[in-house]
Amino acid sequence: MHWVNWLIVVAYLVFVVADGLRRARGATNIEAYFLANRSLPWWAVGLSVMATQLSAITLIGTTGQGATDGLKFVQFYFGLPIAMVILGVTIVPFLHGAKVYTAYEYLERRFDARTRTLTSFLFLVSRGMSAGVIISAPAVVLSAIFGWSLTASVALIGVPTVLYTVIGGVQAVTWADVNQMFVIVGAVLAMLYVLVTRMPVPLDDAFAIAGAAGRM
Amino acid sequence: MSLRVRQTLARVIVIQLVTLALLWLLQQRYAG
Repeated sequence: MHWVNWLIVVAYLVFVVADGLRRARGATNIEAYFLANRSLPWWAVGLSVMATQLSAITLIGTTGQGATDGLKFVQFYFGLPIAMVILGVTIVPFLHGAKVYTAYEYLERRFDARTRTLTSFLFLVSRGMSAGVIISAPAVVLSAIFGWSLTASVALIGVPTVLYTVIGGVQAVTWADVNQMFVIVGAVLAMLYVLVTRMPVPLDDAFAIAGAAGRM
Repeated sequence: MSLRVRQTLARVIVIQLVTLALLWLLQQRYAG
């Protein structure tokens, strides 16, 4: 790999961690750590929610799905925005008004500590497993590109993330997500440009081939 | 439903309809 590519990868990782930590410097109490003192602008929260839903699995997996199955899976993404609006109207104002740090805190208030423990346990187990898959997929790609071991690639993705999350709390996570969203959208546009301009056949032919192969 | 929610929903639906129409046009032209 060219040294410029290395420089971009290292500089980006350092920037994401440093920017997250810099913005989280005021997080000295629990309200700041978990809720960022309720001070985050709406667009940062929105971009963070989008970045949370969009993992490397989405970029790698949906591309593969499109190549093998065609565009059928796109229908799933038509439901998401409507679900977001419904959640934004119902659950979000409710939890915001309940003045809780987490949804599980509300469950304890409404039911008891056992309900809170069980639901948070289930969340952590399922989230832990899905995070494993979400990190391992790009780690496979990174190890193929860099020629590293899979363990080193997992560490490269996981360690900075854990660091800025544990040290900076929600503030650091949100701003790291905002930066990631800009990088992801920029990268997708760049990929689209390269794909369209460097394809060995004209775009019109490529669509025709995709259609003939049943991928439309 | 407040005005803001209705406006947001309307925007979401319009964007989806436009996307659907574009996908449909692509399919009409290329799907074998």
